[in-house]
Amino acid sequence: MTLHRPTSAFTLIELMLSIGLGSLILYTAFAGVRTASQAITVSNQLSLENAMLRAGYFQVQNDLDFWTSLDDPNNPSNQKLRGYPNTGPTNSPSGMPFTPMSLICNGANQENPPSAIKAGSPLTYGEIKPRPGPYPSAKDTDPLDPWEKDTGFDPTVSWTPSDPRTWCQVNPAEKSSGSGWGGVTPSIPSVLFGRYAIFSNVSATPALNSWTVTNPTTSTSYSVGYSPPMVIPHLWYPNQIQFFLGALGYQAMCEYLPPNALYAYYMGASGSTSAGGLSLLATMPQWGSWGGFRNSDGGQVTACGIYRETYSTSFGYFNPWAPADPTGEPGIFWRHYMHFDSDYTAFNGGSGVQWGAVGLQDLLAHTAFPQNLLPLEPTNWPGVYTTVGRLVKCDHFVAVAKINRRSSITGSVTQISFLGLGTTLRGARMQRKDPNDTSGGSGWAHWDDDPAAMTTTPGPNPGQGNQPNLDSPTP
Amino acid sequence: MQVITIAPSVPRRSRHQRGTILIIVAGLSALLASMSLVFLARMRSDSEETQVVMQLAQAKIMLAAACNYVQETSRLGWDANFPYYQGAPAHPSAIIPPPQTLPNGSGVLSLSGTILSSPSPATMPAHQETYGWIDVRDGSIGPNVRAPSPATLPYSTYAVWSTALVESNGSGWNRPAWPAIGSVAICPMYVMQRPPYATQLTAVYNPINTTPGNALFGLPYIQYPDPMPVVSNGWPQQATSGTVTGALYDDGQNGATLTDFVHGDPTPRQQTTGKSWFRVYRDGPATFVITCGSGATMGYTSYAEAASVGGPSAAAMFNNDPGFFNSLAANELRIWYRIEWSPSVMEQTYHNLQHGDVGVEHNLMWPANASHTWSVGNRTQTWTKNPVGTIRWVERLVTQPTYY
Repeated sequence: MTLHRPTSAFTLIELMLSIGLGSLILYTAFAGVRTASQAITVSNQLSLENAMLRAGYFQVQNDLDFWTSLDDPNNPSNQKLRGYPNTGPTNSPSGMPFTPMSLICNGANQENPPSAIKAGSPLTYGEIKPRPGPYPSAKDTDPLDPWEKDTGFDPTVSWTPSDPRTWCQVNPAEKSSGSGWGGVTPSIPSVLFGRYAIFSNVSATPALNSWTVTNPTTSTSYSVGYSPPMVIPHLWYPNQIQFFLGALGYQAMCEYLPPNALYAYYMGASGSTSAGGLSLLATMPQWGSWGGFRNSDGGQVTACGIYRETYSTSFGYFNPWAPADPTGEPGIFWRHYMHFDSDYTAFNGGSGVQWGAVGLQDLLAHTAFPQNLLPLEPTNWPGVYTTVGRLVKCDHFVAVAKINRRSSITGSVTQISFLGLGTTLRGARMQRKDPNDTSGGSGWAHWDDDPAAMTTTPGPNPGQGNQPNLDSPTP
Repeated sequence: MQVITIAPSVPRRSRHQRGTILIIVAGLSALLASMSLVFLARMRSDSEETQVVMQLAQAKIMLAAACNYVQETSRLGWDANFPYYQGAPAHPSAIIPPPQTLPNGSGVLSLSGTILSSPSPATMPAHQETYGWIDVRDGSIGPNVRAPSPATLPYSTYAVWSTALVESNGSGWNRPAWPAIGSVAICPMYVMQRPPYATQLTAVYNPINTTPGNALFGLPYIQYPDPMPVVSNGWPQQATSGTVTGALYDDGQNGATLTDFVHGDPTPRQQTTGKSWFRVYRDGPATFVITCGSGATMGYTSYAEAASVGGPSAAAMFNNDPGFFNSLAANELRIWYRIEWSPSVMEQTYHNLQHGDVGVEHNLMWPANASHTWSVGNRTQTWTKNPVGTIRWVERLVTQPTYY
């Protein structure tokens, strides 16, 4: 019997089926690989997006603590807020938020005697103490009290209310307008409650004025006389207010002065004062360049503190990397000496850089200017922009941190926004080494609380003395 | 005999098919495994990095807590009878027993441990408000309590602090007890089972009866105490019987059981431990070095300090093992700040009665938080209460300070 051996080749049908099945298997395998590859790619991309969001979070936290978006002590090209034009709003050397105090706190603005700091050791650069008692009482204030004659900023003395020199002696009801001197309301005689300019003044020998007030009903005239010389017992407080009005910018002034300070002071009579000697810069709405210091909320012409001054308007710290102002607008220096509508007046359209909705938008655009976290990143990476906008509103100092991340997959934008707590301006200035120190250079100032650090030669390393910072007096 | 194979090709082809499928399945499995591994690795690294984000957030929250602590303790929480009662709280920490609590009727302790006298109003805790870290009355170092009027001695005579070096960090740093200059407060921020002076959240203890015909209908009889302590002390409430007594009010006088109203039950809630803490080093009259921590060391700088300051109970928390403490410390985040407290609070000019050019001059000024302004507007600074001073500045320290 002969048996037929099976056919060793494929039939056409078998071949087609096997090719089809093989293709299906290969397609499935490739699809699996491709899907896996895509999944891994998306996973990596999403992970990268999350990582970038975290990086943005760390960046804003770092900025909240070290202010490097406004001033980088290790990068001289990013120290644009350290300038000090010779004339500011008070016609004296004025600076911006990171101007070394030693540059503007000199000459007439220096401690008395010059370079002296009162409470702490000169080498401590951080030791802050109250003025030693006992203090002169209010009734027997010593006009020769050397502490009253101090001017400028002493970083070693705490502003203690037990010290009479810290008391504001301005009459809070006195108006900077009135009859007798350019008054707009003749029915209000100036200094109705007395001539407070003789209690406190920026000058120990101010030239005050005499004038005549006429009662509009009886036509009776009264003489408001003044006969120098007059001993002015309180000089320190008005000098502090005047100094800070032209020192580091208006928001910096709000930070450096205590929260209960009244921003008013008397001067010798001039075109810059009311009849009673009140500084018009401090008390008259819109008096001065670029809207001046005082806002016009309520038409107030009396002394005010931080709340009234920041209720309808705000001050801010302006990012020097924001687009420069067009010609005719204030520029980075004067921006720190302006107020911007930020409340009920910001509902209006407004005109000019600081008024109405335009002013509010301008304030936010320049204080909260978003900066690219990684300018040189690959184009397929998610973009991250961060900002910490610092401004003061209704006596609240706010630091608005924002992280914007754009997804490179979907293009969607995710924003995280929160109010941060961290270093204040004065703290940021104490972090930075005074470049005008005799040892030269810039960078971070070394500080330690080891007593040895307060008695040895300053240096950047542990064990060396604390280094002077941006708040230190003239070396 | 010849063996006839009936279907010799079938087994060969079947083996080939099984091998192909095996390869494909193995490949797909490898793909799935690699994908899973990638996902897991990514998730793990994301989780680890996010943990740092959380730690930083918690540490920054500790900065806010520390500032609040410095503000409040400038005026609150001190004992007028210091040192007889040792100026509690030495450390606002549950792991520290109430300061030298006695007394069980036997007396109270001095700093040196000597029994001074029997409990009496003159020696028992008497919490008074103080006048700031720098006394606003004369600029002396505070906190100081009230003084007889007229004061014949400096206000610092009535200080709640002492310069006596009674504490050590276990490594050679001897320091005074909090709140003296040079002292440290250690504040682990877990949630207590029941904090001191805890009251119930009940909003209305004496609701007006609304059932017509009821004997109590329509009138506020105020039958029951309001508020009521959380601790069940037998006071009557909600139609229950009971008596208002001093039971479980302050067991500090009766053995410090820590189950009373005054002391509360400071036992940590389990899920809140090991999260975050802060410590405050008073380096000047009103300047403080704040350490913000996110981790499980409870605010101790080292195991030696835990054993020295916290005693055996603190050491036991770390298994009596310095190595265990060090591993905890290595995984936590610590950042340092320096702050200055100021007694200054809100200025008063938020509204002068006639502050404009309106033909009238008036001295009337609406002060901050003036209640009579509530009816006419919400510009009142009621919402900016700060009766315990303010923080003048905050500085993140670039490097770790020697003392903190």
